[in-house]
Amino acid sequence: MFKKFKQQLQGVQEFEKTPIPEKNRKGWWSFLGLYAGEHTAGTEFVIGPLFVAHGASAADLVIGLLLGNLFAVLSWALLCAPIATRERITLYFKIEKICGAHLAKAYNLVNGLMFCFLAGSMIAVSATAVGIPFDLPLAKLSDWLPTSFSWVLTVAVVGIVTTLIAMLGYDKVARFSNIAAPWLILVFLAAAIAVLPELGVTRVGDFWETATSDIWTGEPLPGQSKFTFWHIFFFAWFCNMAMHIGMSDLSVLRYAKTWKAGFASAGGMYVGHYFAWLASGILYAVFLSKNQNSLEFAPGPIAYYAAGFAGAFCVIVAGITTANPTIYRAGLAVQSVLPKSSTWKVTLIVGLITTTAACFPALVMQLLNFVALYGLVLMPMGAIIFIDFWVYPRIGLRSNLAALSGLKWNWTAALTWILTLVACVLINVIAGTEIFFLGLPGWFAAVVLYVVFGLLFQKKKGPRVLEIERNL
Amino acid sequence: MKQIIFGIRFTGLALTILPAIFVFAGLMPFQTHKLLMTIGCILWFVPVLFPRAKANES
Repeated sequence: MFKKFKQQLQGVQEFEKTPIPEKNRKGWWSFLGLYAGEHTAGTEFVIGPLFVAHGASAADLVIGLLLGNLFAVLSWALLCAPIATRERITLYFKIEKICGAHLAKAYNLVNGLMFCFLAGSMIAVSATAVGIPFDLPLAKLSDWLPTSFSWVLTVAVVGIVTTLIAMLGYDKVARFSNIAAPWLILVFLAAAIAVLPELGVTRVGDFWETATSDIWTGEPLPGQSKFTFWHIFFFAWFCNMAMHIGMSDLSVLRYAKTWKAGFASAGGMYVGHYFAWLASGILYAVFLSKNQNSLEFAPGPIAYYAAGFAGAFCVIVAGITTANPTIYRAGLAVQSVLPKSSTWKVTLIVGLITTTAACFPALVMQLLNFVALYGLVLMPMGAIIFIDFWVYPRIGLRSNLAALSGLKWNWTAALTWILTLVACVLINVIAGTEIFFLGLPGWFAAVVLYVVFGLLFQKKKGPRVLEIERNL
Repeated sequence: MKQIIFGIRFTGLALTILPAIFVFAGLMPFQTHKLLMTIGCILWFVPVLFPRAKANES
């Protein structure tokens, strides 16, 4: 059995540095399943309740999510997918071609680490459901460190299982997501519908009044900041910023037959980041009303209360289907740093790091801030790829300069990345702008910096660039 | 065989969502809804194993 498993692992071919062959390309339906599964996930059981905890009002939430998710879908379809289906290589290889091997390694390490933490939060959410039969003590909104040995043990078991599935490669991940997705979505909806009578909603017409007075009241819980329409809009748009504007999904959408597969992300946004967030918010409101506004945060037990065994199983499966592609992406990132290692060995290492990170409740309790930070840190490279692909050839500059010239460290890209983040920190510190709002000015700063530095550096190195052109 | 599996899985999805609607309408006790959701979960996931078993035999 072990021999068969090992043969299967060695047979995994992910085309890290070669374009995807025609026969391996997938239709939009495959991506609809993948996105719906990935974004109807364990973290939705955290994000929906956190909107309630941060005092979002019902109108702000409904409209903010509608528009924010629309912008996210357009970012996938118009920014990421067109480049993915033209280049058909991973994000990491694309960055190596633009930035050089050394800068790509620095980026990949940061990227891989961020993905590990993100997958860790998903595993932690699953663990809250696995621990139900053992009466696992759960963390509170204010906890940052592991609260018990039994918590660490439960997280370790969930993390190892998730890693084993991720080690089998993209096809297995997509298959698992596709199987689970329709059922997961219905469990979210069913759980929320079934508890509505406990909030006093017995007719559809009663819902809005209860939503504004008892669920999304507009009043934050003690110790939590207040969220407005703009917090919700920008969070919905940018919570996957690393994947669309930051171009991480080049690695996934390179399998698509056409760029229009980018619109399949709507399956994930409007099911997972709309209905699932609303549904989990309703469940949390019931939990708060039954527990006198307790600060304990327990996605597993909340789902178990609302939907029984199916609810708890849903939290486990939802966590694993999200953690899988995230660990897979982190594995690809680290593999570009360790190119001689096989995919499955790298994924195993990444899975172990993820499992360790998952032991810390801070990942879950500060999830909104962490998600915003991870998108922000990786976003400048997405802007660099966008400009390098579309704008550089039109203004007489060389795209993929590192691949053409043999540069190991492209200072144009490095300075753009670093100075964009410095600019975002300055806006945050000086103007007091919250992290959720920094992505947009940051993207424009990166665009301007990369064009200006490109003009300066490539002009300065004119003879070298001309030499490259002669050799083409 | 394919149609039977489709029927079982469809029943699984129906047992996941319909009981919640009946609870909302006041037509079903909350505990029954939980039990039916569990059955729905089993019906959805277990038949997934069959096509693979058939493929392995061939």
